[in-house]
Amino acid sequence: MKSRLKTLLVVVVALAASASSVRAESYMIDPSHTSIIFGVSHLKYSFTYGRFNKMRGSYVLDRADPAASKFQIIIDAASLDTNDDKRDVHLRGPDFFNTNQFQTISFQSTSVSLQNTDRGDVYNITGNMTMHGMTRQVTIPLRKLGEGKGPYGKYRTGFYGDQRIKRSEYGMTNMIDMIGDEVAVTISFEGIRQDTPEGSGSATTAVPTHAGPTPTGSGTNPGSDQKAGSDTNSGSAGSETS
Amino acid sequence: MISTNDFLLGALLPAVVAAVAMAAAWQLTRCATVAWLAGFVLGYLSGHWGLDARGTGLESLGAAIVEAVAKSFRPHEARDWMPCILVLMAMPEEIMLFGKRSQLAAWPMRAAASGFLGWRLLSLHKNYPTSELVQAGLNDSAWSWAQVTAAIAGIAATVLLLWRLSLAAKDQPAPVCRTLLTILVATGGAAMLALSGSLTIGQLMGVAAAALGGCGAAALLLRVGQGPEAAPAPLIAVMGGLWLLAYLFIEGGVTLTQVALLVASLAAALSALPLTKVWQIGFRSAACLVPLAIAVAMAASDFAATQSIPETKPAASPYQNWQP
Repeated sequence: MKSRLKTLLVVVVALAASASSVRAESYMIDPSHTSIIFGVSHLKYSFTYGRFNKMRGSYVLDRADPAASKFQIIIDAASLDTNDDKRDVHLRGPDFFNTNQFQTISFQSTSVSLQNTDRGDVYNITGNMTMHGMTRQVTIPLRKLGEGKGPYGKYRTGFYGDQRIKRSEYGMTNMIDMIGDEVAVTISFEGIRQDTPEGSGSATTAVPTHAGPTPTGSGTNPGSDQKAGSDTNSGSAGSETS
Repeated sequence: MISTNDFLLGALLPAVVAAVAMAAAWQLTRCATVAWLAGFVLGYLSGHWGLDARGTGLESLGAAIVEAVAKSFRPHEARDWMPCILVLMAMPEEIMLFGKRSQLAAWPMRAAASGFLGWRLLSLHKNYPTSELVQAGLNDSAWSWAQVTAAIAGIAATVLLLWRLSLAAKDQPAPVCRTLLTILVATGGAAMLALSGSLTIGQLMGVAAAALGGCGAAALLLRVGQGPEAAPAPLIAVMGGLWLLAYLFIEGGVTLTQVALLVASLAAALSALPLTKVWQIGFRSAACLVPLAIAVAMAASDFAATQSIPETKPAASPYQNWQP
């Protein structure tokens, strides 16, 4: 009797572990379909926008237990691009990002909560953001825009979020009078699911969905419609590249 | 680009503090080395902390200055190390005040301080072998340990050479000429750095120029009889440190040639060249100001080139004949 109970217990534990591993999906961020945009006031007359061109990251989505989800991204700070070479050099220098000393900007989640809204699922990602060598806690509301298979058969999920940060909180205090302290940051990315060797999980059963309306965040929102599953990937994050 | 606050905190404050500190030290000790040390070190520190206080976001000036001073004890950016480097390099000068026997200890201390300056600033660069990017295998332009060692040795040797040249000028005639030339080198260096892509580092060099100006004025009024060669270490620390910072951290901003021209200019300003005849003063001034002018002109030329809007060739624009 005891041995049967032990066997039963082992089976239950194994099944639970198996179920847990199935529902947690790992994704690699696809740099070709990832945009990190920032906007900042110039003399209070206009906003100047820029982007970071090089980044990599990954995330784990746990649909059954969203709190177990994890997000991380690392950005090459020197890859900033504001469409003005001289300004970019100045921004990389000691007056601002000082990229020869502080080479990366990173975000590592510490807690995740899921909120179902009328505009779809919003993951509130709280984590540590390190920029200019200083780490601060920020919360980014990431709205799931859509998910489904790309043209090469790999499963993707896509998110959009925006947040405002103060550069002075990261030690970037120069020219606050001219170049605004508040920086609007927008991130939109796709992740390619890293299928398990056994091919288990929902990869083969998931149905492409659309999360809802066009993103209309308050940040640097490009305002264009984004259709789920419309894949024109030419990137290099996953194995779906051409 | 330079606000009233920048001028008050980065120019007027260091000049006044330097002059007052120098006058007080001179009245107390009648020693030119002590007077120049106190004047320049306190003058520079007041300006450095004054400029840093602007960025703390604190409304109370007192709290902002306390925060700026505290920042020097927990350096974050490479430039935050300047006060520490300044004080460290001033120590051998202080040791020398204890008599000739202390000279034995002074030169090893100078060598160690010069090596520290090079190592501390190099080690914060992304190409340093232990940097985050190099460790992650993401930096193809990482320096080898041999390159780092050679660079530190080269920096230390240059600093020691400047130190030796300026110490040899002690008690030589015409200190006013050396003082004026040194102020010009600092001012020109500040303009060059500001034109090269970093107002922050340019402003710190401006602080050095203002502190020198305050000391020079006080020395002239009080008839101190010696110029900055009386205590050259803090001056060399600040100028050398800021030039190195600019070379390392302003991307494509300051070239090695410009740094070499500034070093040559400072050497000509401070060293023990004869200064008794008019032609000798003219020769020294030319040896100091010509390389300085070339370095500033190079920066100004680059700056002007980046500010000009390139003409668009009509044929290159597909919208040339576009009509709404």
